[in-house]
Amino acid sequence: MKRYLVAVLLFLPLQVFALNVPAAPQEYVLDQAEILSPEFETELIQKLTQLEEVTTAEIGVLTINTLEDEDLESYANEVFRTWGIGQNESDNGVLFLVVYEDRVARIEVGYGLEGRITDADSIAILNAIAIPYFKEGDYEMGINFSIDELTREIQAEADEYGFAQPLEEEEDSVFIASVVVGFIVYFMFVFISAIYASLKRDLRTRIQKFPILPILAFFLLLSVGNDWIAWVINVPFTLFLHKILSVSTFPKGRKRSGGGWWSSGGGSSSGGGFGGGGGFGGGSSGGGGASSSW
Amino acid sequence: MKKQLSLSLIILCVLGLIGLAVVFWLVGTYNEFVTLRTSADSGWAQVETQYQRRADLIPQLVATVEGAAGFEKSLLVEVTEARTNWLNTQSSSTATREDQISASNSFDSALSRLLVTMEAYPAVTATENFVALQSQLEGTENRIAVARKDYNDLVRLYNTAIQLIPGRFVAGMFGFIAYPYFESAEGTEVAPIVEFEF
Repeated sequence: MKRYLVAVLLFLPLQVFALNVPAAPQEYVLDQAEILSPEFETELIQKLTQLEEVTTAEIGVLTINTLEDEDLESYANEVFRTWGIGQNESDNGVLFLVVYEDRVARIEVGYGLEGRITDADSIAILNAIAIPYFKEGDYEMGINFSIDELTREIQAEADEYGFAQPLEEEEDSVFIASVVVGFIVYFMFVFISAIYASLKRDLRTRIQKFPILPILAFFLLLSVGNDWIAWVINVPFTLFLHKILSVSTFPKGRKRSGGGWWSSGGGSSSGGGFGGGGGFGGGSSGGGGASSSW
Repeated sequence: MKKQLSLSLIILCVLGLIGLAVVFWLVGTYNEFVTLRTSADSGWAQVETQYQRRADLIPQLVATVEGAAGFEKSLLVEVTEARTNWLNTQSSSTATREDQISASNSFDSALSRLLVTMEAYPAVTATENFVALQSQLEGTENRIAVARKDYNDLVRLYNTAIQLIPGRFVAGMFGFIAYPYFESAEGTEVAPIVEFEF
């Protein structure tokens, strides 16, 4: 997926918004129109921090001066998604957008809160709470009381149904997948060489002569299109497996005749996989004399 | 002899590896296409859901407007027919996605014509029923817009993936076909001329 995203970025002009979406603020509130006092912002941030701590839901507040020719709804949606308001699994976010000079505002509600904060609720909050204050130029109170109302709704939703808990990062599954793939690939080669070597009844030598295999496995993984993390994990792992197997399955080894390609530190770091040009050459050409030294 | 053997063994394994790499790549690419196509399909399902929601609002809208004195009845007929047409196309098993898109576009233009005309009837638009209905319609329109954009984005990803070399060979092999984008019909926004399309 990621690969194709990159491909698309490279090959297609993206739909560019005339009005650029500001980077997400560290703490919920971005006052680009400069209509809020620092004291109020601090207070608001405290409130919103508390909301997230209690319910995991997030409310973002953005004020801008003008939309230029941008459509309010699409802009709000763009900001919402760019910022990623709410948790990934439960989409429990709300964006409160105030466009100061254009005198429009929008409450954009995430998927997960649509059931609680309906369009009618959003309109009611805007019309009955925010707009009267905005008309008098009191943006702080308008925002403040609207946020209070939204908070109440969210709290009610959290109490009644709760929100899905954020999942852990995917790193684990990438790790496991790469290890599994490495395992399978390695055994395929052991199997191939076993068939081949069964004619010679010299399996141990065969396996030991294959330091090239992990490297080839590495390129194989590359072609499968795994994450780079997978290769980084997988190369050392395959080397390790190779070493373990060669020792434990065939313990009575002959002395190795010299430094193999892995003695140069292959597998100890992510650089080992990439920078192993010298090691690579040593593995394949020195096969004839190689034997176990460990 | 020994040296020759190990050399041929290495060659054998390299060939095996290349073969494996090709198979893995085929499988990976195929799966990637399926994933992309599935997400484009779910994007479409989302579009359908939102249109369905709009279709559900139409009878109410018609009922609200019907009573207004002097209101152009042909517009109501048109919207109702566009809705029916859309519903039929959705449930039809033979309709292609292009058909569905064009039915959706007709639905769009019929409704927007009606809404534009209704602005001239404050007696209708001022009623409580209509105001509530209008907010629901607006919400639906907005969701339709977002769902459409998402669908187009997902289709773009899928179409690009199956058209880029070398993926397009895999796509050709397994019959992955590009999906149509959901483009708005020309002149959907403003349509002052009222006429029947059916």
